Amino acid sequence: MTDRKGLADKVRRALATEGLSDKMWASTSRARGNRAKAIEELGIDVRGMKESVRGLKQEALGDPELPRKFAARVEENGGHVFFAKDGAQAIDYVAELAKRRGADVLVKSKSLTSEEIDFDHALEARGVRCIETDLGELIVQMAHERPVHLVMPAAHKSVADVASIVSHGLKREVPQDPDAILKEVRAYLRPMFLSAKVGVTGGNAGVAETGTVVIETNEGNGRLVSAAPDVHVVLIGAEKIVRTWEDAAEVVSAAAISATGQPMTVYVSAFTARSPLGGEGAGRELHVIILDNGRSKMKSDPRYSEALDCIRCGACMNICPTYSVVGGHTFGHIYPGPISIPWTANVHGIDNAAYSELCIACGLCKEACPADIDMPMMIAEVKQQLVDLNGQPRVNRFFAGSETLARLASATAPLSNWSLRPRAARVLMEKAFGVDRRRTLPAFSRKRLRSRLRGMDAGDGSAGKVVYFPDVSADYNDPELGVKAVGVLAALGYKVEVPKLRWSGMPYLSYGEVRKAARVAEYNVRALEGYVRDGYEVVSTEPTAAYMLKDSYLTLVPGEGSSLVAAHSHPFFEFVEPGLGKLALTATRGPGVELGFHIPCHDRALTVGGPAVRFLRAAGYGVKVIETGTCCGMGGTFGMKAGALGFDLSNAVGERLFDLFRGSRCGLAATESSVCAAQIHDGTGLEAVHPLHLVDVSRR
Amino acid sequence: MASQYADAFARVFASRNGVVLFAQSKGATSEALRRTAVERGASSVAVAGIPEGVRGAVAEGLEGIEVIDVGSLRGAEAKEAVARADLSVTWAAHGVAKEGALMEATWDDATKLASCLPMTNVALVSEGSFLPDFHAAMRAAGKIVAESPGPKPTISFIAGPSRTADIESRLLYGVHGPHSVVALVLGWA
Ligand code: SF4
Ligand code: SF4
Repeated sequence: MTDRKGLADKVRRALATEGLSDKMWASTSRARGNRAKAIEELGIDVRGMKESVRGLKQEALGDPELPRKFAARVEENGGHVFFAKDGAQAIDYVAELAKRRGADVLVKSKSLTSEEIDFDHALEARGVRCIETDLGELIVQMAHERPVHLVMPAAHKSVADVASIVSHGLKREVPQDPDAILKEVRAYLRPMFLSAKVGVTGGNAGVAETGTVVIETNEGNGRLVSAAPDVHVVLIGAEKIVRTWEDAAEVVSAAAISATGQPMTVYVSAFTARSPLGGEGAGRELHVIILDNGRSKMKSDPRYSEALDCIRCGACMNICPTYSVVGGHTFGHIYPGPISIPWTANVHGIDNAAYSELCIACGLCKEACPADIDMPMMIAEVKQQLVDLNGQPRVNRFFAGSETLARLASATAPLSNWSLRPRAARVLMEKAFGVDRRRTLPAFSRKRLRSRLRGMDAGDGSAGKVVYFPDVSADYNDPELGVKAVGVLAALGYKVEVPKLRWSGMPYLSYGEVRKAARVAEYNVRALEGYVRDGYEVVSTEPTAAYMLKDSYLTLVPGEGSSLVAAHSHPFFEFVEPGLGKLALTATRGPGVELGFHIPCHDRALTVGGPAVRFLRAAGYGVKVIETGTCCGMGGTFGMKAGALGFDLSNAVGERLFDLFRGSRCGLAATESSVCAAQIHDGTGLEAVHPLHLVDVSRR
Repeated sequence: MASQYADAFARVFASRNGVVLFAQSKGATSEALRRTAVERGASSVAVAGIPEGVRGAVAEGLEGIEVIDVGSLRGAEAKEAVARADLSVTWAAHGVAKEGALMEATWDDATKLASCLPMTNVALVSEGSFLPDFHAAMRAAGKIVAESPGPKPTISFIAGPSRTADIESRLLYGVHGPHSVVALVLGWA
């Protein structure tokens, strides 16, 4: 049973914990910035990197014999291999080994796989103490916590926190100075490295062709853990095995770039056999534990098999807006962040994945992922499983039904608009449906787009044919936007059709109604496919709709129809940009108005705002792109929901963007997304509109 | 071509807080080693994995300083001796230009520990050994491992001094491994 109240309390506590959101945000934004800088400076072809990582992982996972081939090579080189079905088996193996070697203390370098099976605690219970040697891991171990981030385990701790934790752990006063802390830790760990009989590392990749394990670290603890003790244990997930050294190179460099913006980590080590120490090989052992723990099940489930492509870089965490304000103790179970949702659902049980509600379906994690993993879709599947098990919470049901609501509200406008405005009505809406009373709800238009267009010039077709896809906003709330869009397309010489279509269906994905989203996708694809075959292009002014058409529908209704529609669908400004020379653009505000421009998340996968900004500049506006590098926090209708699992969390994310808008002194905000506009307006008081509303367009 | 790679390496390695020195002769190599040891106040130096033709220059540079010849020590004794050293001198099989890294191949963990444990590590690398990038270096590493007839070596890439950003994302050096890594690029070896 999902405990929404418990989750809301956790979010509330996280947001109220002094400094937590600020520290998380600072760490994740720095990591985002470093990644972006590295991509630019190193000239990384992100698309190429994604294709390559994904391709090599899929090839490796598609070869059921690969783990055996890897194991055979390890054994040929004198190593021992153990296939562990689950965490308990892996822990038993290590506990027995430690006993055999008389080791009551192990040194360990960072291993996320070991976190997954609660390695340290389980071994402790068997009388074997496990010392974390990665600084961040050591801090959280001393604090009796779990890592808050895959790559930055102690991102939520200040220098003062760390000094106090380390003082307590070492039982002596450590000054609140990072260098002093470092010295103390070095002095504490050095004898441990030298005296430990067993060292444990993870593995970033296992290379099947030679039976080699590759690990990456920045601190160098992995080198010490693997070289100084007589026994080296590698705990590696079965999905980490790749075919060749070249594949391993691709994995480790993509991980370093995506994690911290480094071209490579400071140390990359590759072990193939246990080396002697000072010429003595007796008693030097290498044990490789290949862990399944639910991976085979995941591999055979098409909804989740992609999760196995994860190379544990943490980039999805760094870009995730809600994770970035609450951290991994709230947005996570054992693994933190976006990828943890499908992973938790499969490895630790669906009931532990209820925090999936904190995903606001912005889609950015997929964008940032070097393996191009479709986390948003997997998270939608996890939510669907939870809905199937526990039912849909009332507020989510309300918003998942926005299309029907819009139809109703539009049919009863202006009464519906008037009745939603008074404070008493808002309080009632909050009580009855969970819609936050502080939110300005969009007004509905009595006349929908198609009736507005009746009698309007729909273009002569000299440039081609276009289907305009309005989605909810340009159909029910702001049909004037649709009218302008059709006007621009007609002025460019396109013959424009606005057939009967459904909404894009994104809210169904956000609220875990994947099957309903698939039905919507099927309807729209069927309706659009015929047009495309007749030579039409599909154009939308709503970035989420363009994203659904070009991306999500391919997964929801795979096949020739969705591929065809995706290939012929376009975001509005990208589509009209080549013809702008034929048009006269006049700014409707000004002169001298400076616009603050916001890039909607779903457009980051498409145009990153470029064509819209150029359109506004061509009309004579000064345009400043105002950016946090992630979402505005609205997440479709998520930010309209009341309380911690809605408005409060949405606002905690939004505040960072609002501050930038306030500091920019821009008098007006422009954004292509209707919901981002609402968020910016509510957060800053600025008027926030679609770029098309700021420009009069006519044929030259 | 090789020196172009070495130059590219030097830029990136330095940007990662590594130190790069070039030596065009045996004498210059000895001198660079001597100066480095003196500047770091090293009273004992662990020397490991140095190829025959370069040993003389190393020995000359370290004259007057306690030298721990890692290869001559057995078992745990080697590990403890390396841990006592203030500085180490090791050999890198290749330099990696684009990512600014050194590639070490070791057949004994005492040699590997020599580049891990002391506060300063001086890694000698031949200017002619540079490879364009990490991918090429991994291919070369894979080949060394696959073609090693006997025991397989451990490959380590080292792209600067040990570092962490685990305390409020502040960059700190020398958490476990060397605080300082000096790449001494040999134009003559
Ligand atoms: S879709 Fe957005 S909110 Fe959801 S997990 Fe990914 S980054 Fe976070
Ligand atoms: S899901 Fe992608 S972005 Fe997230 S940790 Fe894994 S590889 Fe990195």
